[in-house]
Amino acid sequence: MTDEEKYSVSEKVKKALGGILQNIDQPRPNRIYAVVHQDDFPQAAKIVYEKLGGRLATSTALEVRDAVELIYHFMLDAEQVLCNLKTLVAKPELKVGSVGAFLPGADWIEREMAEMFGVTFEGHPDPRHLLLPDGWPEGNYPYRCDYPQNPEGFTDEKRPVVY
Amino acid sequence: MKKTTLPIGPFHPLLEEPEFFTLYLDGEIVKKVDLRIGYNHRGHEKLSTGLTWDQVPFLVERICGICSTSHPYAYVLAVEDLLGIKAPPRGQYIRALIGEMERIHSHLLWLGLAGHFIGYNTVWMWSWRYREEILDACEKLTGNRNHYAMCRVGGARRDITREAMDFTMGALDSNEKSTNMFLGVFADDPVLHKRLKGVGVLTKEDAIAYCATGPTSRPSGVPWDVRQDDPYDAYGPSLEAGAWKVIVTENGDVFDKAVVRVLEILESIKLCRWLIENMPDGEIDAGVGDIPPGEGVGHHEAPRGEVIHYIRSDGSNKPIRHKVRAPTFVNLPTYKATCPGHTIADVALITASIDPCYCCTERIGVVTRNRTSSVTQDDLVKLSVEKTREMEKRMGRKSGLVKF
Amino acid sequence: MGLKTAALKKSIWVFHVACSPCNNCDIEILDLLTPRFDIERFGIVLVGSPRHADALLITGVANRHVTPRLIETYRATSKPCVCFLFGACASGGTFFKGGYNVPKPVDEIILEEDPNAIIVYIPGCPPKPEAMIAGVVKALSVL
Repeated sequence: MTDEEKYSVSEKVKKALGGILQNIDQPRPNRIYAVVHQDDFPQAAKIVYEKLGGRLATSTALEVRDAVELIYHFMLDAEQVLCNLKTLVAKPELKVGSVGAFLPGADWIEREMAEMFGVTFEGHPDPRHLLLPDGWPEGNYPYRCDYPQNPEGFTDEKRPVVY
Repeated sequence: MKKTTLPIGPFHPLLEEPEFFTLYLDGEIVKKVDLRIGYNHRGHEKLSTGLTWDQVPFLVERICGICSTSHPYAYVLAVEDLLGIKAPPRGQYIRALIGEMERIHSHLLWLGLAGHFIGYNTVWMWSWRYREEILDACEKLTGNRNHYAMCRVGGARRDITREAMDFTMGALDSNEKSTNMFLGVFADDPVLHKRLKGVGVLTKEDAIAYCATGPTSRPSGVPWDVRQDDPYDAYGPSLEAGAWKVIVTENGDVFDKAVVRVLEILESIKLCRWLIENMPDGEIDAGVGDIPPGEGVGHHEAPRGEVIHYIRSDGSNKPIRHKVRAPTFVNLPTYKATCPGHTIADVALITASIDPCYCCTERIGVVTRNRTSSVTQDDLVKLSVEKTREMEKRMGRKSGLVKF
Repeated sequence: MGLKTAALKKSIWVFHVACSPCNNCDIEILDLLTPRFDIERFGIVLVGSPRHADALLITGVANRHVTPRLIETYRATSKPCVCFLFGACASGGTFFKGGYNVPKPVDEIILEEDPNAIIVYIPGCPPKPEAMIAGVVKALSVL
């Protein structure tokens, strides 16, 4: 794949996403950043997965001022381009439709983002804790910016063992 | 029939890392599997935001001890993606060489464990013995058996010497011989065919739906390999030169997963040789200074599949977000598709076949002892081959691919 | 030296407890079993249950999820037992010290449970198999 061919992929993404696309940027030939609104997000992910043949590599959440930014990294293996689908999920509701509902590959990563950032994925098939211990207190989201590295007040070492 | 629930873990003798399985059984047939992880969660992504850009490779190296180059590799590629630079050629080749050496020893490790899981301890002992040669070469190249610390933003951290490269060539030659022997074992041994074929089939559709990567998806006919799909560093030139190819098979069962890994060892050996022969001279490091605000994604094909790192910078000396995804994170959920309908004994094998860094601490391997000192290893191999041929004759099977 | 300690020192049987390790020490421990190092010639055998074990090989930092399980495993081991802390993480915590999911160092957890516990540190990231053997031998010679 030459660089020109890779640059033409963003046109393809633009055409596939149509009206729901808010912004698209291709800073380097093999990286596309596409932004959609949070209401259209599952639909956009479905289009990239089904129509463009994207493989969900992973997804990232990060906290910005008044929202949590979600980035789903879809690898378009045939085109040799990584398409990053972005959205901003507004605080304090932090609710977005689940991609894991139709794409099993997004199941675990959405569970992780839910427990680490407090984002609620509506329609997720299995919304349980994935990584954090059982009995982790509600409302503690360790990857948020204001969360301390070593929180005080945990007494869970003494609780009875439930395997 | 009454439904039974079988808990396994977290310090189960078969699992090297703590994990907790719940098997829902009907008789001996597994109906559903549930998995609880989190026993290994140390919060790398949070800790990484407290370290400077140059300290992070040492932290992410310690995510996994077996893919210990893959994580720093993906991280430095992400930062280089943010900066829009490429490492100098010699730096690229050194990193790729270490990455491929790691693939060889990781696949040999898995091969041994797979042998152990099916009660074939000879394979375990032997493949780990041949793995030591590769670890020696790694020690010669980098100074440590694992945790090489060779990746740095903008290039390689240390140069490697001609003497070490010559030593590595020797190790690769002897390893190629032993890997061919293993290929013969897998191609010819009727016991392995009976035990592994048709077990835990991951169909192509499931592999795509679960977004499985690496040697979990490639046996199912999904040709995803980041080294080919998004060529970075020295992988682009080596692919153009035809130094290696991506191994893809069609069946998706445990047998194919094993064969793909053995064949990948041979491809990696070829690629390592090509990298050493074509090692350019010059700088190894681009000398990166400040990191500007921005974001970058880097991915590397680790032995188990794609490792992907995402970083976001605000222009300070630390990342503000660092996302890590290891290949097992997407490969492990495929147990939902592959395990139901099999017996308990198969479940251990199927989950092991995706190589989730499993191990076996329970049992001990019995090494064949040479009672007479005149028997050499070659004699033993010969005896074993003769036995295999005899068994094949009795079972009415034809010989496999490889001849000794 | 009591009778129990004297009996402990011969052919120790070990149980491997992996508490949030990076897998590296664990692989090196398994390496000890394979032909190059072959620690079974010293009578050291990995067993499948803590009840059979004379020593626990502990690797990694203990996170919140695994800490209660580590204590349970220590309680299940017949006493006296030796706790070998393999690697820099188990010995000192390294990077992970102070992380939100790492409450306490491993040695503190064990000492809180049993103040008389015998703890042996084998640092290194990972300790080379030769260093592991040397550490075990050295520890047994001073017991």
